[in-house]
Amino acid sequence: MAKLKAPAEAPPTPAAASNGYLPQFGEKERSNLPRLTPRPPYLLMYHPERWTVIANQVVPLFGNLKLQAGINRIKVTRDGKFQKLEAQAAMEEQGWQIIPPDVDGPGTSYLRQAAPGVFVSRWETTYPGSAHIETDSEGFAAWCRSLLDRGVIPRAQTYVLELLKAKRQREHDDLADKVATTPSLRANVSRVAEDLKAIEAELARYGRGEAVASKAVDVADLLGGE
Amino acid sequence: MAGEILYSGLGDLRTAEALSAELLLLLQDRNALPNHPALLYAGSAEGRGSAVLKIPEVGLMGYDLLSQTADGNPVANTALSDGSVTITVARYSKSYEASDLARLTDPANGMINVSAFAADAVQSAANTLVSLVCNVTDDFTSTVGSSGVDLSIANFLAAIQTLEVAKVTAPYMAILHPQQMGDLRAAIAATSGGAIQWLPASQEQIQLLGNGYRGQWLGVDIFTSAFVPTKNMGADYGGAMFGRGAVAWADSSIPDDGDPMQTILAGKVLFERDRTAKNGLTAYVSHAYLGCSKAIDAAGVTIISDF
Repeated sequence: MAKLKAPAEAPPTPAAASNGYLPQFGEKERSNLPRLTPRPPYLLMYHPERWTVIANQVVPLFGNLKLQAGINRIKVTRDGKFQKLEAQAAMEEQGWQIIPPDVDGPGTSYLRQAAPGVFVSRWETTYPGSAHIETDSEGFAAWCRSLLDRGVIPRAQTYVLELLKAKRQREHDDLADKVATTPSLRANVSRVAEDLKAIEAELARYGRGEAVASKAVDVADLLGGE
Repeated sequence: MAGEILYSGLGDLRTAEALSAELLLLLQDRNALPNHPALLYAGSAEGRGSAVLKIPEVGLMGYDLLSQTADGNPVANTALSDGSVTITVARYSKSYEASDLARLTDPANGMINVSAFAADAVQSAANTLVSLVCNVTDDFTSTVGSSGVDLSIANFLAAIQTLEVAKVTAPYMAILHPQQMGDLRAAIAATSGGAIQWLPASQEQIQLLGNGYRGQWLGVDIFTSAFVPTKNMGADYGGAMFGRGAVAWADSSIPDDGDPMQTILAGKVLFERDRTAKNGLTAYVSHAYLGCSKAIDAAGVTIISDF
């Protein structure tokens, strides 16, 4: 098969008899902004019982504390700054821990503004004129693991991993049952099976966790009535 | 031949474009949510002395069981369990400002006129409330589903089971993203063989429960909304299923101070006209005061599934 030739360079322009002309158009140019609906900025929140598997890594299933007045007690001042202390207190009471946006160091942020009123994470790529978003799941999972390594958040407790494993196992079994009649579910079965492997690896890495110590009960004290 | 009358030659007798009598609305999710018993309306903040409404939570009506107590012995006091959730009502506003020329050239099917802006104000307030609710229900502590995997019947069943185990009183309400709804419908069609009856929304139910109502399945009233946010950095959607007490919302009526340029729409939306005479501009401004908070976390479960 003949090889394709490299594209030739444009032929030289003959000497101009008059000044070149470039037409100017008055129509509006197509916006370079992504066509996404408004998304408020948010703070990531970690909860010790919310974990998931992304890109074959066990990572926290973060919550988002949306910074929008009226949602979960968030207020906004006249100059547009957010007041989050009440919201934060209510969330912390439920076990959530806020991850500061500059957790990676001063001047960094896990948030970016894709368009006016549209805030996405730094692992999301948006495209001009499109509503499509692409997620760098591997990059996000690696960042989550770095939070664990740096001690920003603790590792998942063993009982949480066991519960997650049991949930995924049920899901896997249910999907596997249906594959015989609906072969298109095979991809989902494989996906959940990979999740299970990742959870088992995480369990093997840390072994059994420590339960909260409690005082032994002397049954003889309870049965003294006869 | 020459001198034919061609369209291209009628520049003075024809216009470049004529407006159709039809009008196309740009796409938006215009589905209202309210009127389901699972959504707790905390009331209006009007005349209450604060923009923050507090709903007390109390452990009565059988919350604590009786303690076995030996004959002749005094019973110890039981600590009363209580808590509260607060909802902060915030201002949401919009202004469309049109010039006189823009308004006077408005054709019969009308887009730049007071009626269209008034209707828009009511619908926008309803949409804003839906978006607030969806931005609260995506983060219950309990979750079902897997990142990157389509919503399945098993996930839906697990969500019901989670609520039942948590002693959440039915009826349950599910708010799903249309993508999640599509996955669920496909799963039902492909795998259940119609063994479980889907009760589609009737016209009466839609009038009562809003356009977002899609029907009832396994006793759960299912609504869809495109305002359901993404989770896991855009990889998934975060829908939810919950019972009464999981989410509470509040609003406020705005006092009408008798200005003829103001009116209250749907009892809650202040709609007013602001004329800038020197510039020949008229602004149509609407305000609504809304708030939504997660209340009893265990009364809801977030449903995670593929984007």
